[in-house]
Amino acid sequence: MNFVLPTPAQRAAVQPRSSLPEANPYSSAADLESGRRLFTGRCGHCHGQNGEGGRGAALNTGRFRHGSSDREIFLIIRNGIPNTEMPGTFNSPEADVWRMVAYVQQLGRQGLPEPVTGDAVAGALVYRDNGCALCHSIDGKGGFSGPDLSDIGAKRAVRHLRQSLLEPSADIPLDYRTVEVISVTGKSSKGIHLNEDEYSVHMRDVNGNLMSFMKSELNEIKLPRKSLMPAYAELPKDELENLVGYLSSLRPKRRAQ
Amino acid sequence: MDVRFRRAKMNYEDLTPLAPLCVLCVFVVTLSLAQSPSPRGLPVTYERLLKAPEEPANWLTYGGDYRSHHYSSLNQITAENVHGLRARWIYQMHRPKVETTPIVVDGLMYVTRPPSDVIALDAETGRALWTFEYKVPAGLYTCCGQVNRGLAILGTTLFITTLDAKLIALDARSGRMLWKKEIADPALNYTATAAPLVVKDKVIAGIAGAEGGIRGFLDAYDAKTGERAWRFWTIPAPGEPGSETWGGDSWRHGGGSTWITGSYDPELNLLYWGTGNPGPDYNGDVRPGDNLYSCSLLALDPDTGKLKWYFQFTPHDTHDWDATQVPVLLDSTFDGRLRKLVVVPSRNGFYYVLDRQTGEFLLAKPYVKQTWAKEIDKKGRPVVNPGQEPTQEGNDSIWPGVDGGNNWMSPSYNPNTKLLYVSAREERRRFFKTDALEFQPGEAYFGGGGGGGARFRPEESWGKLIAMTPETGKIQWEHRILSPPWAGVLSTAGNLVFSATPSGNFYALDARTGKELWHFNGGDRVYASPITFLSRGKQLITIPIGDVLIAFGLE
Repeated sequence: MNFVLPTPAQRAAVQPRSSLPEANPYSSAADLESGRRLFTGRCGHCHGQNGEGGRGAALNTGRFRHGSSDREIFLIIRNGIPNTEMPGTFNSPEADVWRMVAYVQQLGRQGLPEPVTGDAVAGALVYRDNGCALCHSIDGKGGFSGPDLSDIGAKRAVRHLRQSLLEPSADIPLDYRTVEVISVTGKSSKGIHLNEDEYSVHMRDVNGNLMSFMKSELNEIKLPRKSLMPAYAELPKDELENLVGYLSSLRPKRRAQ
Repeated sequence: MDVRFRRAKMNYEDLTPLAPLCVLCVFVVTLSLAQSPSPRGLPVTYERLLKAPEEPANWLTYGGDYRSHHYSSLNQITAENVHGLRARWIYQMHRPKVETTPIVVDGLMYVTRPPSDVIALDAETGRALWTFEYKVPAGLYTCCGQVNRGLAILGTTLFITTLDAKLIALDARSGRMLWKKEIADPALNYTATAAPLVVKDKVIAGIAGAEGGIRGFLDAYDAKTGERAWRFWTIPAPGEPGSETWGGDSWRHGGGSTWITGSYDPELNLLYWGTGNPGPDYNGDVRPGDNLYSCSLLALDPDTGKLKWYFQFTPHDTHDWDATQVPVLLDSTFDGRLRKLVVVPSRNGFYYVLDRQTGEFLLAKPYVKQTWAKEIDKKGRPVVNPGQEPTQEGNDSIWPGVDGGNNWMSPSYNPNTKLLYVSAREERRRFFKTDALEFQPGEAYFGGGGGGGARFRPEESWGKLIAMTPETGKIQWEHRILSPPWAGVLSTAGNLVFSATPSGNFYALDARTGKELWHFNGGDRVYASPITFLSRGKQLITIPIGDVLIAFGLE
């Protein structure tokens, strides 16, 4: 991983809300087709080529967490979502952003239910019994070795959640990549890769210890691309699906109830 | 001393110099020069620019001299004592993405600050003597941040190009504006970021905006009056030579900007300047042909703007591989014959050697991993591999990345080691294209992108500083860094090479062996090139790190 420091703003300014029409001025059939093609190159990599979701949220369910009006979706595509992996498309003309809005709205109108077969209530017990909370936290309860799952159902599509349980190393979130260092005396240390530059490397081990190493005192640095999370491929299928159902139910609105 | 102190304080509190203070300002500068051990100061005549290497105390042009060697014969700081290098002062800019290279004249440093400000600093203390703040209009279209890369000087006048595509002349003693000329209309996405270059009595100014559908050019202006002396359109109009390389009306928004400072050979009286990508960047379908003179090196007569020769590195580019690298001029033996060479580490991943008198192609060799070309043929034309074009779904098999093997950061040639030092980027990236698009004022004109959310492995993205034999492109050693760099290189007669990393580390290597000798964590990304000069007889080195300019010296 490259621990480069945060990139300064690449675009002149965030597009202001007030300058935009409420409704999409580019929603003809031709715009929609153009929007589909734009989506393929720009968005499909994370949201799935048919909006079925992946690392990015599913867009074919009709549930848009950050706003569902044309204008709101425009602003999300144009400006990105701060503190998430969703980037803005600063280098798209405004008309193209509207065309993508048209296509995303069409995806949403499919109103497809996410393919959850499991029972969320039963899944909560699977979560408890397998000790997931040792590493993950939900609403402030649990560990910090793995990602916070409080809103995970809104952030990740069902298929991505299932894949993460079966193959945790398939797509490791940027903040949870692992590192192993071996000192000149042969001592190995493993943990979450927190920072690195040309001279030093930093990690948090499974016990939560923050550790710093000088590269001059190391024999080897390995970036295994292997998640610290064990795979749950052995879990009975119904338990796995229930767990997926539970994780998928973890959404911000749950807390408002 | 009281006067000087008071002025500095007022300058800090009120960054806009008021007219009555200018008298005081001139007095302070005079005072400062009187205290400087270097006797010359202003004016910086054209003769001094020609002989810039004979004034190592100063840094008079963007590239350090007309050959753009980015080298200094200063040798107080050496491989033996560089471990004692310490931060001496910091000038805070509080602006993102500082890409500037300052100019230094006998104890005074002139530096630009984003977006288009100029500041005169006491090179000894880093204290501001005057500040020229230029208000850039809101709503400008810029592709890549509100950046500026530096200045030119002639006589007592400084020249800067602004983000809204103006050329401005300032009195170097007061910071007062002498004239302002429009280079092009910013409403049509023209913008300017490069340091101008003074040749004789003219100011050569490049343009940017090929991501916004401009038609590029290179301009020359009369240094005294600001009247435009000539314009060379980098994209020919129908009927002009090269126009046959553009399909239909595509030339109108054909790009080919000129956003990095070129070099000059006074003996041949030729100006060497690189051109940027064709537009739209990633969708080449709308512009069938080679798209001259995009992604090329131009050799122009600086008196008339007439094209002497050109060499196109990447015909019909679809990866945004601008040829806006700094061309380095060398006189050396090639194939047993003494030749005038121009060498370019191109953004497309190949290192090129050309005869700078004739433009003859002599050599090309990859200096980073590249997958797009099978080879460069005997005439210098790439033999392109299949499957390396941007696609609608995204093609993630392409090396180098959109930012290229090298970009705009300065290389350095050291006449002692006879090595060329280049910051190099090893990167695989994902390229996608979108539908053909209409040009719209104020809007991007990319036709695709060079990113798109793909995650690559650490072994697919790293950086290095390479030392190569410029005549052969043979790499003598390389210094690996963690990520692809945006910092240029300075080499010195102290047997040192300086550069910096995206992790924020500024470092020094032994120029012969590449052994690392010193580093300093500046705490932010570096998007600039280091320079060196004398202040009160002592060698200093400066580099912008993040949004600050830091000066280093021996204790």
